[in-house]
Amino acid sequence: MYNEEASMVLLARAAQRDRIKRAWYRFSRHKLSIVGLIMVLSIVFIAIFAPYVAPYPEHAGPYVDFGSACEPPSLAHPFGTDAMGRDILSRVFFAFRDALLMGIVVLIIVVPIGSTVGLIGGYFEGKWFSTLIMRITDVFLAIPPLVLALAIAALLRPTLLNSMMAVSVSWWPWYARLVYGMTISLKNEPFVKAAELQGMNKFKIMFSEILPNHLGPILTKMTLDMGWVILTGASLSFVGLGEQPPTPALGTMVSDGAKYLPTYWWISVFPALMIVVIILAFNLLGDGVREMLTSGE
Amino acid sequence: MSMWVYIIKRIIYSIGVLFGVSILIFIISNIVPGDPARIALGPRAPDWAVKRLRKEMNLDKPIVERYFLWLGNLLKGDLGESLRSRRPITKDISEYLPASLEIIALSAFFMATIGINLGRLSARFSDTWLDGVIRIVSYIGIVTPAFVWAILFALIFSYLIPIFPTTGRISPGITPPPRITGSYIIDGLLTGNFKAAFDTLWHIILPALALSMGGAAQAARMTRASMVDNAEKDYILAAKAYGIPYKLIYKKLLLKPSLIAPISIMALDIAALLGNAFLVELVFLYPGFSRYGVEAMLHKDLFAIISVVLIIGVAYTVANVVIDIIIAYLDPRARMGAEQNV
Amino acid sequence: MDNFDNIALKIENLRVYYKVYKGVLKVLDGINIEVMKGERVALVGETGCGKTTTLKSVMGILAKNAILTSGKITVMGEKILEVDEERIFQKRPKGVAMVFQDPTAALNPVFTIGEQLDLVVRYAAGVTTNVKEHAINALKLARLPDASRIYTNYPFQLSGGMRQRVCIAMALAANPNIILADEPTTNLDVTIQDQVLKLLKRLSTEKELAMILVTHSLGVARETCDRIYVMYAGTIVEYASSEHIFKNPLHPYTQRLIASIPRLTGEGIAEGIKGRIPDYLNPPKGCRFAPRCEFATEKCFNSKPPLYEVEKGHFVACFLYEKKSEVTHPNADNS
Repeated sequence: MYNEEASMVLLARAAQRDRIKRAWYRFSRHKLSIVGLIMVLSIVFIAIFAPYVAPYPEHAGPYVDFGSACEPPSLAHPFGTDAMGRDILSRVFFAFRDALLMGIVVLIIVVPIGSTVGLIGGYFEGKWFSTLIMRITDVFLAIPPLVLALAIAALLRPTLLNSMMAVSVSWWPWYARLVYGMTISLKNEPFVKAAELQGMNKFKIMFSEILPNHLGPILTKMTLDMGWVILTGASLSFVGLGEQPPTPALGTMVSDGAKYLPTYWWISVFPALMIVVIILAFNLLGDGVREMLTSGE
Repeated sequence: MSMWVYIIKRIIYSIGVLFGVSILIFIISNIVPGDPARIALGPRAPDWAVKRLRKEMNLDKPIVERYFLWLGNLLKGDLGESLRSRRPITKDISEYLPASLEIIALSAFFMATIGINLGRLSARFSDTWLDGVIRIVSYIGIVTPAFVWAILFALIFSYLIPIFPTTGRISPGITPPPRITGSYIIDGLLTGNFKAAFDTLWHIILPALALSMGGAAQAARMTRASMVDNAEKDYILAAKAYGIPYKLIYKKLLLKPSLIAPISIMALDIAALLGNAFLVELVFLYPGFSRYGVEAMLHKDLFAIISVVLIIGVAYTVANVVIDIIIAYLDPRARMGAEQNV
Repeated sequence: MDNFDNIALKIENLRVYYKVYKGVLKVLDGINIEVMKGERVALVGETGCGKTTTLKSVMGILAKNAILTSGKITVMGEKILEVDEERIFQKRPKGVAMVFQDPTAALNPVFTIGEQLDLVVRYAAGVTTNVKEHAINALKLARLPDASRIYTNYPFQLSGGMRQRVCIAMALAANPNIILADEPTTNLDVTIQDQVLKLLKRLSTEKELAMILVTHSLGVARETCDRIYVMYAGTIVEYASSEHIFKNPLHPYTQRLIASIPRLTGEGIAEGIKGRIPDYLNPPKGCRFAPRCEFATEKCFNSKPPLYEVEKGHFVACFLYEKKSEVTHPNADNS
């Protein structure tokens, strides 16, 4: 008896390993997904170990050295230096930290809220409160997310935390929409009906019967959204509504550098390209995740 | 007939949504920490002045009453007074909005034409080197934000190879046409001042292109995907088997059903476009509505911010209705079986 | 079959493979079919046995990943496909129209029936005057009530049965000599299936149209067609007149197929056929049915059976009949 149980556990583990192996196969079939994964891991690594990786960690703060201002890219300063003589590469590395933090915090706030709203809206479709919350969602969706985030950020004090709040307010409806659509298509499936007939609690049905089926698309969207949320954060700081100097923020670095175009092009171009790199990394990774979770072959 | 019913329904629903938008914006503007009157006048203003402004802004009244006062004025076309310029916001906006609409219209045009044609080309030559190049370019187009395009374009096409002007809306030497619609291009054409119209067009090409890149890339991808997908459908195989010329199949029978998906998602691209205009106008120092919005935001000019967001909400909603009408034109299922859609 | 002038469609030694991610699917393995003018022929077999691929080869609308490795197709005496070592000769067949399995997929969703029919009239039939009349006439021929209204309708406004009639009308509008019908009733309601089959049969009689009806039902084949080709896994295993196939089924596969037809007399439950269609990536070297055949001998696994003419006009590709007849068709060259 005891042995049987143990072997069952082993079998389950083997099955689990097999699933992981197959998922990895599907993910890695496309080389670009691996490139995306490596890029994301590098960005995370650089962000965590910025003080050790950056060539001039002290340049991340209010450091000024006008003697070496606006130096073009060189071996000592691969991305050049800015108007205050600070090493741009080092500042970019430090800027990764808040960028990633922004993406993670916003998604942690937005995904549960949006999914819950979408689940309730979809499962109770036709009831008055479902109509009400989905109409409210529509109202949020009627304002382009970046504009809404800008307006909210403008009304608050410009800090990282407030930027996160502003982006979150404009982002949750997209998850509500996604989950709403998927829930409607699932709620009449036999397994949901069966659970209902067994008298299962409605909230339990929503969260333990329906929601698990949505995890794939939600996870895919989260991966892709990491890049887009980071971009929105950078856009806020570009306009001047994000974190304030001297904390390095990618958007601020780009807009500050734009003043020195075209002569000192590197001041804004390299941080701008780094934003592209971040978005590209999460997009490639997201495509891989989608491949891994959807294709049945 | 039923198409008009559909469109009218769609418009009525949109008006409802806009009503909701006005409530949302009002609520957001009221949960701001701090006293808008104090912020507007600055920390050193005397208390009595702040008090007077509070009264002027109806800040002493309960929020529901204030909303209806504001809404009443809004429906009369009065957006309130800018706390910064002390001018009616309506006047400010009527000055800046046409300039932005010019850019937005041009970039929507670029988005659709560049995107759909690239996608078509890519599908036509699918799995050749041309398709490969277009697909890579589209991917880059999607992941590169509009303001990065703006900086790169400015750097390349106005500094490195000076073809286009760097900043502004019209060259300093050229007098803008007299105001009829507010759009220099239209007014220039109307008054025969072609030089001004052309110069304005020349100024907005780069910003419009920068704004349209993401949407165009997205549209190219979608067009390609749905054309390649539909090319394997039986109705296209049947058309080929019946000997209908290849060109006709590609340009008509395959293209029309394949446009529904890319045009549907263009609604989202237009949302991105309206938002990104804020950053792109900043890069090109373009005296448009979005830059007015940024200034308002940086100075916490409360009523101006509310108005800017509201107008963008309206613009976005109108764009959505237009897209729905295009879809209804393309897809008979949408316009005729539309009862359950709204 | 002796008189060459009477042949409407002739398919010889057709081999079609598909290139897929895992390798090459060797689907059609040397198909030979002959259809006389005005004759109705059924192509019967399980799903996935290559029936549709055969029809698509005739129409020249094979998928992109298809590889033609051998074969020759002649339509009304005109060569439309020939594969030799150096090159593939292929042209669009004139006078052949195809009715697809799923009428919903076969009609363009965003154009009216009229717009689609007009194009067929114009380009397939080559009629450039009174196009609309021709189109409406085709709808009437397909027994569609209220043809001029349907002319203005979109596909989604019609029922499934009506859509299939529209597809038949479209085929008729092309002025064909031969109609290829690919399981035209599979996606329809049972009550409508019969109507559509009768329509096809009547049209073929009235207009002396040759027809290949692809179906997985031997019953349908017998009711509608003069002769039956039984197909298994990309090979023709047996063909004869419908009567002979039922009276004297020779191939073990045909026998199992007939045994699996449910009977209304209630003589017990219909039997299925054990096993599955072989893996096209690595098909059996010999007879493709051998792995599922209860009579299979070593020979069956090693070499491909040629077609034996067991009685007049009744051919079977099975070594069980080796001694009873002489080889008539060098069916496969054992490549």
